[in-house]
Amino acid sequence: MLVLTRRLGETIVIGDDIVIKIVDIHGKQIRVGIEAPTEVSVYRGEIYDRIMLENKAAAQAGNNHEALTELKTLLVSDEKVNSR
Amino acid sequence: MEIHHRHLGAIAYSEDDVITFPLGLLGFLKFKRYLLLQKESTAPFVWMVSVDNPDLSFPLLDPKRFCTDYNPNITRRDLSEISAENPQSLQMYSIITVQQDAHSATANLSGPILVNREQRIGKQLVLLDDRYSTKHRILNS
Repeated sequence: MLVLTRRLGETIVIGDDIVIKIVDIHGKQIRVGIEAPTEVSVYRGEIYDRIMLENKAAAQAGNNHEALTELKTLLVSDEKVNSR
Repeated sequence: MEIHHRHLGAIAYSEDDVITFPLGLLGFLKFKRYLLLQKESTAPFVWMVSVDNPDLSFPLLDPKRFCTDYNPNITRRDLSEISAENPQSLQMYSIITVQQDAHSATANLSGPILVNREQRIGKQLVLLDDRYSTKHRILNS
């Protein structure tokens, strides 16, 4: 991994069209500004990972037909209660 | 054409039914073509089934069902990726995870599925939004 030292307000340029700027530093928190073309997706790393894990769990859980049927029944009966 | 799904049985479909996810789903980037199946017997669930690998499928629900004020921020970039000019043609779903039993069922509100029905293009959003979790309890919520 390339490691660079930057000061407040300084930037890092990646390729021709991605600019990363250190916008604010406050204790252990750093605010980073990112300019990138629209076709480049920018994610918070931990959210990206969480969604990937959840997708895998959901694909597995799709096998749990019994629980899904139960959930279906509960949702439908819930609706009847609410619409009364 | 026909595929076989372990719960839904034989599914006949035409190319017009296929919804393309150009970026795939996180963790399953290889699979980009899905059917969204809504049967009376499985309602209110919508099943998202990979055309190229029917073993890969996800139960979906309309998030408004259990999170009435769900209102994620959809960026212009998201909309342009699914060629959405007309918001009327958009449909949003949450992927449902059922671990042990129905009461533990959760919905992924942080990575909703957004589909442009008209153009048959879809995308899983990755919200930059701390309000919504990947494990939102469905019942008693």
